Amino acid sequence: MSRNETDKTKETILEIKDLKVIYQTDAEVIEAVNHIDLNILRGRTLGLVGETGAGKTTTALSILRLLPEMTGKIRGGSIFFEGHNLLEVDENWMRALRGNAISMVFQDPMSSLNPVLTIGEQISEVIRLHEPDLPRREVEEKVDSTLNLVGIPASRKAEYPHQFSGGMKQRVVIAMAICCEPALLIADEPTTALDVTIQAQVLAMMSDLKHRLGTSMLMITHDLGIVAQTCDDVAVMYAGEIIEAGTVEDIFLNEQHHPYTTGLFQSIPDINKKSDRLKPIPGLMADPANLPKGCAFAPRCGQCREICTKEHPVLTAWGTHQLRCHLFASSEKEQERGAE
Amino acid sequence: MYKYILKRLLFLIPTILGVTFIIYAVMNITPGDPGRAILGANAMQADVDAYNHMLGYDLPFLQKFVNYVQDLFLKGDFGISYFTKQPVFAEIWPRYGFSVRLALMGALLSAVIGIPLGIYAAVKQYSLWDTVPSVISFLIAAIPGFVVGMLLLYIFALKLNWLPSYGASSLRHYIMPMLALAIPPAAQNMRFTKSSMLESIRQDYVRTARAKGAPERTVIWKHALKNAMLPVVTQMGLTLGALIAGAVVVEKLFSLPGIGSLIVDRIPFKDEPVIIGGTILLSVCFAVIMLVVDVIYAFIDPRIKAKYVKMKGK
Amino acid sequence: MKKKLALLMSLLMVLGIVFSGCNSPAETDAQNPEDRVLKVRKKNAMMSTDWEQTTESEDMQITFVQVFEGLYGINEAQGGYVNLLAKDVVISEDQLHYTVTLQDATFQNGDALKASDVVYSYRKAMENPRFNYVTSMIDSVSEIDDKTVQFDLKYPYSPIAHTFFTIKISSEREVTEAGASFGTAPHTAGTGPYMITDFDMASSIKLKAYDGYWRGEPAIKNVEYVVISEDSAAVIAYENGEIDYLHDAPTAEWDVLTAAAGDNCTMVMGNNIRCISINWESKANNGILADELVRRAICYAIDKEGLNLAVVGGRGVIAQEYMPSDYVPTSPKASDQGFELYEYDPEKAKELLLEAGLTAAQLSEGVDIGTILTYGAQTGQNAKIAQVIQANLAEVGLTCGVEVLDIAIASPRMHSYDYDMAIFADSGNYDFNNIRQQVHSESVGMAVVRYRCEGSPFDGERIEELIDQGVATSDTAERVTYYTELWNIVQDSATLFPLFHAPVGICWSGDVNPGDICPTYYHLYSLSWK
Repeated sequence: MSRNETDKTKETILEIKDLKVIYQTDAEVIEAVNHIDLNILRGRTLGLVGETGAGKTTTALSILRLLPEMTGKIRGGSIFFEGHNLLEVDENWMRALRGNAISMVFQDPMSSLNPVLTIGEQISEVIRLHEPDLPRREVEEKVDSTLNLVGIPASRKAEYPHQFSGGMKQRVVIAMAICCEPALLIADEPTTALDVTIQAQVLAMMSDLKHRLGTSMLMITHDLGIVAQTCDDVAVMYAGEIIEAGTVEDIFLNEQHHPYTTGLFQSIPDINKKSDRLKPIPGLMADPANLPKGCAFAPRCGQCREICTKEHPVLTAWGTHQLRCHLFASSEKEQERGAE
Repeated sequence: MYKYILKRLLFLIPTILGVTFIIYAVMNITPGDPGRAILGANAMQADVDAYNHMLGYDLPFLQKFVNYVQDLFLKGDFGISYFTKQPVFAEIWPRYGFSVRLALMGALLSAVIGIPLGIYAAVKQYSLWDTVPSVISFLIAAIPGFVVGMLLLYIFALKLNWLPSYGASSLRHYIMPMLALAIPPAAQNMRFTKSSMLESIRQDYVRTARAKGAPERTVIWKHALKNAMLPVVTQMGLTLGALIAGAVVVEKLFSLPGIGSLIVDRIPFKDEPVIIGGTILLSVCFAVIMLVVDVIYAFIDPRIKAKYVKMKGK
Repeated sequence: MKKKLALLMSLLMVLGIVFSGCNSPAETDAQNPEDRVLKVRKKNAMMSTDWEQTTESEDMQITFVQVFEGLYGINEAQGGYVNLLAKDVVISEDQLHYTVTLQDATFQNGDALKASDVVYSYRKAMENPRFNYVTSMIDSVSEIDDKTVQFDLKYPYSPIAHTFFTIKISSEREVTEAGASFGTAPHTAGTGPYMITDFDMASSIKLKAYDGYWRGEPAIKNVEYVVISEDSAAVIAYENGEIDYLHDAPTAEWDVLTAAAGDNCTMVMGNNIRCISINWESKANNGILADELVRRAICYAIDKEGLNLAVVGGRGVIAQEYMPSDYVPTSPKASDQGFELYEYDPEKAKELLLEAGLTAAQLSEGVDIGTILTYGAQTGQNAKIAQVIQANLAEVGLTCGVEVLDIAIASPRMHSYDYDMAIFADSGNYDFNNIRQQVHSESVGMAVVRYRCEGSPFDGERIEELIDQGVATSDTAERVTYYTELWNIVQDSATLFPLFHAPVGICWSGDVNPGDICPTYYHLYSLSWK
């Protein structure tokens, strides 16, 4: 596994700084994303891990400014992509970006495709949107080649979504996302709705695409196995905050972890160990409408101290590994690295 | 697909039989007879009986039913009216044609008004584009069609003197009846379209379309609308069907020669051949409309088309 | 793109079908008075253009008056029966033979009116059972010469005038040529001032003046009857100037109409009369209505003025005679005081009830006398009359119910004497002999009270004698005496009591001279443009 962790001049393709997003309903304000920073490097995959409700999808939607109009509001921060702050550009700019430079693949392939249009048409639509001068024949050629890329015979492009299985549908969605060769592909739990064997296929295909096209990826998932398999970098999200981030080695091999991360690993059943009961993290995710003062994880943390309930922890870094926890906020920072 | 259509058309035959039977049975049970109705309250009973006998009204109703069905299917003969002694078909066909035309115009107008308003209300939910048409449509739904017609007559015929108040001899004569017919269903159409669109907009594939970088216009009109159309098309079919027969009030108000008022007028005279003939035409029309709606479904939603084709029976 | 094109094409097709059926003839606003069309409102579709087949009174106003003519006509504005096609009538001594000399008239098809046409028309009508009541007394009709017809009666029958009015003369040639289809289309078989040129049953009937009409061409050349079934729509059409002549205008809207019409309207007493019949055979409350005193009390209890006010806003005319003596010369006049009038007197009513054996206590609680039966709409005139009378009766201590049914149900009950009290309407009476329909024992299915039967307390035989005597003489004064006696018997029995005449409103446009004002059979012939 060759990796250049020390190469600090690696290019950042997407830089999220201090992003705050809320959902505003008549009843309450939901603090979905609370001042997060995220970087995605060119050609690498960032895995965004967390439980349901952590704010992962909101982050992803914010990048493309696809939050629900009425309720979703971006309250601060910036998202830089190719030199522009996406939160400040106009809607036309964003539209040119979507599906073109940044694409998104959503979770449920069953409902992501329009049932009354053929898949060929849905794919060619993306192409025609972003390359309006391309002659029809070339558009069709591109549709065919994209379908081939994702492993669907081009002869099926006149068929409707209901004629495809779940896995194939997701391939179609992916085809739609990559046909314009985006620089960044955001995948929001792309395989959660699929069964395990299909899952493996789709993931393999996505990896393959990534290598062929050099696409960067934001892989949102709650499955650590997928993270291990596909991601280069990882960020762990809890209650709208990044509580731990680093390379995949940092997260999987290092000894020091945020208690939440530890809890995540421990809740995975191990086929080698014999156990009567699984060890879930006790309690429920903090209510984003009503976040506690201090550390958001404190109510569930086994190592909670008094300071945790009073002061909000800051991010401390050891090289590429970052942690947001009072446990690690001591003045002596011991660097521990896993062996290669 | 054609087999499916053929099968549906064949269903018309039991429908016609059923309609004929029911009407003869009901006419048989209800009091009154053509003789008394035509000759008047002061005529001698013997004369009334003779008149009824001449018309063939006093035959047992099953006999009448069998005769009618035979004449209809074997000779294409709709019989003779008890009232005018004229062939029924010649009487009902022009009026039926008129009602169909008027209903089509009314339904089209109601779609043209209601559907775009509904789409806007859904897309711009909670804004003025939504609240104002919604409130107006509630008001209109509360006003009976008769009152709408009278208001139109009062304003446009009487006060402004722009439009004629009766008859159907020129295009101008159609304007008020068309409005009177179109306005109540337009309100319904609007609400229906709005709710269907709201549901459609919330679907995932709409989000996908946006994520593809499609302009909002395309997202609404191409992606959301097509899916929202299914229930709206059904609603339109029902509206059209209801307008053809149910335009009686408007027909009476504007003195239009429609089929609904013809049937209603002949009921006190127990003019069975006309009532049955007219009702048969209406049921056939309604069945055809529903068939057209179902076929349109197949064109909008390929999943349904697949179902129809499958129904061929493998 | 293909789909869009297909959609557009189908939309165009639909629009094409839709508009292809709409006629758009240019509505020519006739400047020339010769071309002006008099628009008259008609309530319902017209059944037939043949007079023999029209039974609806509105249709009869067209076929019986404007298109066809009989030997006699009726002009309510000028006293009743008038000579029309009969130039001269000679009655034999024994009153069995009527010799009629015909006018020099022509049919609308140009043929001259001949005696053979008259004979043909009468023979045809005599075969039609509907006209039995006016033709059963005719033995034979024969042609003496081209212009003279002889009627031989089976027995003397002075009300033959009604027969001469009712039976219209049609062109034998044209009717026989047309065969069974006569009546379904415009024709020229009448002698009247107007001929039907367009017959669109459901929406309009167009008439054109007959320039060869024997009394001279009518002033108004073109008439169109427009079918507007909804009263309020008709009022709007009149106010709008789309209707020129509104006969029998909706009385409910009379105020609106007078406001719009100004001087161009009038209200006249209709021939239609509302009556109450009290069934002495009623079983209610142990046959209480068999007591004549009770029945007379009921008559005294009825406040006709109040009825008039409540039911037709005071615009009707109180009826004391069964037929208006203004144009029914044979009708006994109320002013001659030959019969009891039962002027409104609730005190007298109460006296009679006490005399009948009812106690004051019973009356204060209310004595049940059954139900007032009637037909028509729940909000119609008959229903309102019933309710007002119910209130009148309650004043004097009599309670009753009101039952408003469909005419198809109410009528058989009334004709089989299965009721207690009933409100009904009668019309079309121009000769007092018509009372036969109400009082003769042969009028089964038409009368609502029995006068001559097993157990009848009345002198039914005398009534029938008087009827026979009334037809046996043609001397009007003599007939009136018989009928006065007859009507006296009927009024004494307090079984058939006239209430009021419904009003008939007539409105016309400012450009029209309305001519003779007739409540039933108006003559377009008498109208002209200003």
